Amino acid sequence: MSSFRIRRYRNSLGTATLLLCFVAYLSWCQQHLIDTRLDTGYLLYGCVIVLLAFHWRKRLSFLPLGKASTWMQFHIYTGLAALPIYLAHAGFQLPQGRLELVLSSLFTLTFVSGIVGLYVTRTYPQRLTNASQQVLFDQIPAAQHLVAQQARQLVLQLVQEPGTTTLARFYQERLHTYFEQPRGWRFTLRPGIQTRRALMSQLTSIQRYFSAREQVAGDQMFQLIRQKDDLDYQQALQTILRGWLYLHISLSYSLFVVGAVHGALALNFAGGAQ
Amino acid sequence: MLRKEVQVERPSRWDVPLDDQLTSALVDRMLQIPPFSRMDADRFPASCPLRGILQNDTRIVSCKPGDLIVREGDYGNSAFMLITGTVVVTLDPLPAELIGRPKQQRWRKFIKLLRHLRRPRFAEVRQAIHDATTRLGQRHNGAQTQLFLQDVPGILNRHRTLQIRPGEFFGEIAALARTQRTASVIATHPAQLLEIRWQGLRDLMKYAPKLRQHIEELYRQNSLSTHLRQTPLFAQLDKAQLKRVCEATQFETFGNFEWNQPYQKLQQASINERIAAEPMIAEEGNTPNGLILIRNGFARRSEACGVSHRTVSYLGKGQAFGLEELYHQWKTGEAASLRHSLRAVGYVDVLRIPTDLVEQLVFQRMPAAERTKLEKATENWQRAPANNIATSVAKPHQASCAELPTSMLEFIVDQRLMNGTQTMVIHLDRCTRCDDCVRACSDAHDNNPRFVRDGVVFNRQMFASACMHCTDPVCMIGCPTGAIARDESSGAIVIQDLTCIGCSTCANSCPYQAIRMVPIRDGKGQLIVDEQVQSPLLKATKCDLCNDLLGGPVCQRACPHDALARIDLTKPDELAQWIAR
Repeated sequence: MSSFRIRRYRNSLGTATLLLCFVAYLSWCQQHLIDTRLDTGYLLYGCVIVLLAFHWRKRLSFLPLGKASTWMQFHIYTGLAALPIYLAHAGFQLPQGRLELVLSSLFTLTFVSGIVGLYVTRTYPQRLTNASQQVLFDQIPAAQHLVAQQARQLVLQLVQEPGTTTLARFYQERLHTYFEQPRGWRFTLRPGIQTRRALMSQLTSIQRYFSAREQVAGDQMFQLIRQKDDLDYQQALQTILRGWLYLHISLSYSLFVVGAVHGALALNFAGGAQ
Repeated sequence: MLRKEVQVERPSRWDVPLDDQLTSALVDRMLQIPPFSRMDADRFPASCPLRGILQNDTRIVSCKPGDLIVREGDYGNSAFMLITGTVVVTLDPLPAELIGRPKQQRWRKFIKLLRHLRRPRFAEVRQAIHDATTRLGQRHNGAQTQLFLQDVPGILNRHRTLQIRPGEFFGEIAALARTQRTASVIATHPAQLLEIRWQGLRDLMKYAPKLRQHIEELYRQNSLSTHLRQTPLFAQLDKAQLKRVCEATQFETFGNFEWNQPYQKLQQASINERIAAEPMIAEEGNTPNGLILIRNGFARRSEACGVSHRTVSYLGKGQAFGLEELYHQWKTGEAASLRHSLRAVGYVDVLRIPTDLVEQLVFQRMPAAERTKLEKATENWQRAPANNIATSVAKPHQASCAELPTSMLEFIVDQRLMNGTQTMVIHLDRCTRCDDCVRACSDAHDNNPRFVRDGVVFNRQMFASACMHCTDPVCMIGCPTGAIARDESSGAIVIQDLTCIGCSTCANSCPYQAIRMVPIRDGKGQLIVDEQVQSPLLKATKCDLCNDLLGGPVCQRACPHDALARIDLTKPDELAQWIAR
């Protein structure tokens, strides 16, 4: 069994045990008619602080505060455990009042973004590795620009000769936008090869009109279309890999602030209305 | 049609002599003094005459009292011969502070750590340019930088030394074997020395057998027993037995000492061509002629497969070749032929220990557990024949290679990655490209990361462009101030920033492009420039394994996905285990 699998089983078992203890405590309180809302609130807000501490640890990476991967494991399992704690705190009811609605929405969004992040960070790297080349995120725009320039040059060289306009016309009608413009948010969210396949199929179907020189240029154009698509694919995946984290962190800090307000109000009125 | 070609004289070995100021009169004078006067010039070939070697591969070095000629811990590519004057070699290690290598205290590391909390606004900010605390002086003599010690009489009083007589050589072992200098040599009075670069020394040894015997004898007396003692096979031998082994050991050298240059050219060739170009140390199918021990460098262990050879493993310093075959011969009395070939990867120094001594002193005294291991290995010969392509690709070849397939081993050898003791390996299937490692490195190093998260990729593993802290650190050869050195406690190759003069020698020598020259700034972000030529002052920067921080390399600690590790590739099993997590 791989060490990662062993770790997963160990951490899941540990979290499940702690949650069982938590459930046992809740049922004991229920039997003794003890109000647990403050206890669960403290616990939940404590979880939020612990979860945010991972971000602070990242900022202070030069301090000997342990491995980030250990923190990550703690972050994942604390995050997962936060859901039942939240449900217990909210009394398994929908929120009432504006502040509670905002707070529960923030919690839900933060939790969901965390789950999405977990999925993305576990699956996207493999997809990125499968791509033909590994390009640094910052260097992708420059690489895209270079490919677009090469495609333009290829066509410009071609049109200088008489009777070689078919590829140029196709470039103008279909390929120019493909090379020069970004792919849009739909592609970013669900990158696929449909556009590349369609363009290649169209290029293949017009190949019979090509002159001998255009045939050679056409082969190069196939390469460039593939290169551009690979770069767009890398950019889309890396944008998601970075973007979800920004969203998750923003939501976490919002939750931290709104949670503090909620806590202050709850403590202030803990004794009931005067 | 016009022929577009330019005819030039073919570049030759001595186009760039070590010292172009060396006159023929001086060479004549050198030829009159021993040991050169005793050498038979007729034994030297016309392409490499004795006079030519002296003219092109040597230079005269004049030293003043206090000059540090050789510093312990440095790597060098030349040896010295004393002509006139007095120099001494230290028998005790000199204090690190004295020779410009202060050791960092743990509390200082803590203070440095706190300093990181205040992040500078600009990259590569330096508070000081010169080391005001060092007791080591620097004197510039043309293009050369000479280091000198203060208070030489005091040092001589406190430390044991040995005087070197005119005509004696020193520094030859470190130059030929590319190992660290083991002692410092100081000029106590004005002295004149002949510096011979290793290429010249190698040829002198080749054509002047007496010099070769003399240098080999020196190695035999001073270093061989220590080297053998560190080899597990000979660790249990007593002094007398070890002496017997030392006396019978033969020295052999294969490949090109400056392996970093041809290696980059050879990258264009196919794998078969590259393997064929490697000098053969021992050939598969031949009878083993003694036990081969790798003294320095790396060797490829391969087996014939079709029209080429397939890499089975690679061997580094201290590893043995032919042990199983010799054991089989000794145990069964049957002649065994070598199952693999051994080829020099770059440059290799080997020791050949005669078969009869291995049988008498090693096999007969070998612990039972070791014997069982060897017996099992030889039994496996029959079960898995060497030329079975399916088993050799899919299964481990030997215990040390765990699960690494042939293709991965060949990649590591071809890229010379087996030189790295702390190679940065990134598992691309786990790496989310978040750059937390780069950011952490930047935070720990003057706002400028010491590596690029990019590099050669094989089998979903990226070997990033970060200093690998090589076993054979070619970057350290030729540093004029010894600013780049191996840290004794951590083994990391570290650049002393205040000692670095920004000459780029190390950056140009590094075959992995892991050293970068960066312009430095003051606290206000202004570039610091040389007052004479008005060009920015440069400093060599590279990964230092976060030597001045507590907790080890931050890149590895900062990775939240367990995707990055610093791995010792001299032991392939470490990488195999990491991949198989």
